[in-house]
Amino acid sequence: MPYFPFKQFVTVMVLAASVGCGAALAQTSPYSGVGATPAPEDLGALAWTAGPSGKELPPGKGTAKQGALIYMVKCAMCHGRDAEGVRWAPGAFSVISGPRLGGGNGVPLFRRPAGRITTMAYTAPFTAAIFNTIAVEMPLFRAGTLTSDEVYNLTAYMLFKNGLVKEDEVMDRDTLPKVQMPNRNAFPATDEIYMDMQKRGCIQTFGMCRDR
Amino acid sequence: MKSEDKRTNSRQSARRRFLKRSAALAGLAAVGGIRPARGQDFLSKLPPLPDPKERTDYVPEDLVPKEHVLRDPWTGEMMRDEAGDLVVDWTGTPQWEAYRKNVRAAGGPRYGPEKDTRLYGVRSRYVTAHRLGSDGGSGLGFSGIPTAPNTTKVHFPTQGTPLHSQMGIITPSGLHFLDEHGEVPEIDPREHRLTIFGMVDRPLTLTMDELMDLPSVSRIHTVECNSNGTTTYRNRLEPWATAGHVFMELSCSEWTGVLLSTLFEMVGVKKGAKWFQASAVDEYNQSWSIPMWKAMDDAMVAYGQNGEPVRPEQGFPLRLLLPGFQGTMNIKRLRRIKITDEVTLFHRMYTEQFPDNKITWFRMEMPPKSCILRPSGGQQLTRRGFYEIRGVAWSGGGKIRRVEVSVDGGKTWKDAEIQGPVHSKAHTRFVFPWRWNGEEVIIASRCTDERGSTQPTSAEFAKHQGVDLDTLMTRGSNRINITQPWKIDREGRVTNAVFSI
Repeated sequence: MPYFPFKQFVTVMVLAASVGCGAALAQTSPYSGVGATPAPEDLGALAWTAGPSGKELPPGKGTAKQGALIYMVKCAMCHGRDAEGVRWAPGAFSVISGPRLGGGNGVPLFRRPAGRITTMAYTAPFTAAIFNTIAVEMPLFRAGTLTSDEVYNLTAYMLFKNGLVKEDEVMDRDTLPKVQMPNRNAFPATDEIYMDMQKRGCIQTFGMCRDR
Repeated sequence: MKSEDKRTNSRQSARRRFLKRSAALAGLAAVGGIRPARGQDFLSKLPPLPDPKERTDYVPEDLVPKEHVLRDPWTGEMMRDEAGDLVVDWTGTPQWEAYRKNVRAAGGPRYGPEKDTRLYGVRSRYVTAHRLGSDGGSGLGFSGIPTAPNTTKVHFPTQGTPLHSQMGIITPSGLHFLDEHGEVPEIDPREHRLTIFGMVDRPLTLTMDELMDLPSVSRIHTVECNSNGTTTYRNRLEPWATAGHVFMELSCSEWTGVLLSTLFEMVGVKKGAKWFQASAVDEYNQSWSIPMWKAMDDAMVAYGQNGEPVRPEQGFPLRLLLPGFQGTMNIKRLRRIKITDEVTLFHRMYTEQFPDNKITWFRMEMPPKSCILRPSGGQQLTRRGFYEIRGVAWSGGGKIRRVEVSVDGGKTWKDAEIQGPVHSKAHTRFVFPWRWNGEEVIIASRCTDERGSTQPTSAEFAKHQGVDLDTLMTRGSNRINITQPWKIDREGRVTNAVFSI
């Protein structure tokens, strides 16, 4: 469905909360009674964010073709008609500006080869990074106003403008995580190195983490 | 009001009589012939108070200029204090002008200020330390937010701390640095909520009042940008750079709030949860994914900064504080926390790439750094002889254990004295007595934190990055903690000598 099923979500959350409270009576916090059960608006678009597996992606779907139309209305004035980005002349400041989103041609390399264009689609190791950003943070100054379908459409459009999906390929909670991102191998296979700074070795080298 | 007048009138004649006798009395009292009046008599014989309309100290309510009365921001009503009296800012009122005229007679213009500062103080007009606007050159596509008129070519909405003017370990709230990517919103604290949900037994939404009822802590910590001191920022490399230009994205405050461990215990984190996502409520709801171990360690949500509520530019009414972590993760205007078992990314992917093309994704903890603040860039030594070299050291890894100072260009290092109490992940003051002999010299400091990490020299850092020193100097590094040397020439001028040590 196009919109997040708030009513069902609330029912499920309330039930879960009450079941949780009932089951955990023996272990209720000493501060019980403080605070209220969240309403759907309290969760906002953060309810839709997901990790590399995409298992927390919301229901909904989109294609790049649909995304192009939404993009023109909501994104183009800051990110350019062709997702090439908008920059102003030095000294001509404007809040209406944004980075290049499309036309990437390679993953970032240390030697920064000439002509290399690294957009977020070429830097992000998994699609959820793009989905999360659009869902929670965009459009600038109107963050949190998109529906889940719109976010899928725009994510598909961004991937399409970087040559990673076809124009009518349907992106939903199952297909989106499966898109092979060019920079996927730059991300560690597991998050174990982030779980223990001592093990990670940052402290040994001037406090500057450098994962190998 | 009426009782006040009665009191005045009944005193007037008594006071007039007293005045007539006062000269004679004073003369006789000096001789020792007449004893001074007792307490109660004295009160009734006080000189008469002037006509209320001519008084400039107490002003009757009907004479208060109503446009100068402070108003409740929510109801628009005129504010009254606990005694029922109006709260007024007298700047620009006729009564204030009368006060200034009178007071000039008493002690001069120093006692007749331009502005009524009784309700909230200001500093001396001879103190001019100010925040530094900065060209961030971040390349993120923020080609500019409309900026207020300025003389610097301010490109990026950074207002940096003038670290060289900081005297202790606390950065004055008005000089605390900020990086704002949009407007600073006006959030009504009564409307603000903090929602915690996700892999929890009891998802919760809390109001600000409820947060302030919970068990609280108050701790001194720095907030520092990931790129503080970066050599990709050109001003930082200029010979005229001050300590503020070098380390502007750094401030230290006392933060008061609730530990995340308290909140997470309230909601009941489920087994298997390894990360939490924190999200703001402002123009673009900046969000970060943070490991769970930090939440159970010393992370907190802060509503107080240096004794008063966190200021809007620092995240009023609530900000996340992750002591020692890069500044951008200390989400301002914190609104939501989602607890999950998977790492994720949002648009700020603060990465660094190395010659083997491997990328480091989550660096999180800030490395140990230190800086001599006196003498530092832009200052002038006016004579030979004794100076106390002093500065601050800080590390995201914990307490500062050791600070060394070199006064011979890095050839030898001696321990400086660390002034306690030493706070973890906070500014730490160090002092080093020194005599300047008038010769050209390069001085620098180097610190070690309690985990054994030491600040590297430029050469050591280049080697760590896998590049040679030349490449480091030209390519720069976003996140860098090399020593900060200052050069003092024969005339006593202090300049930036970055990369010298």
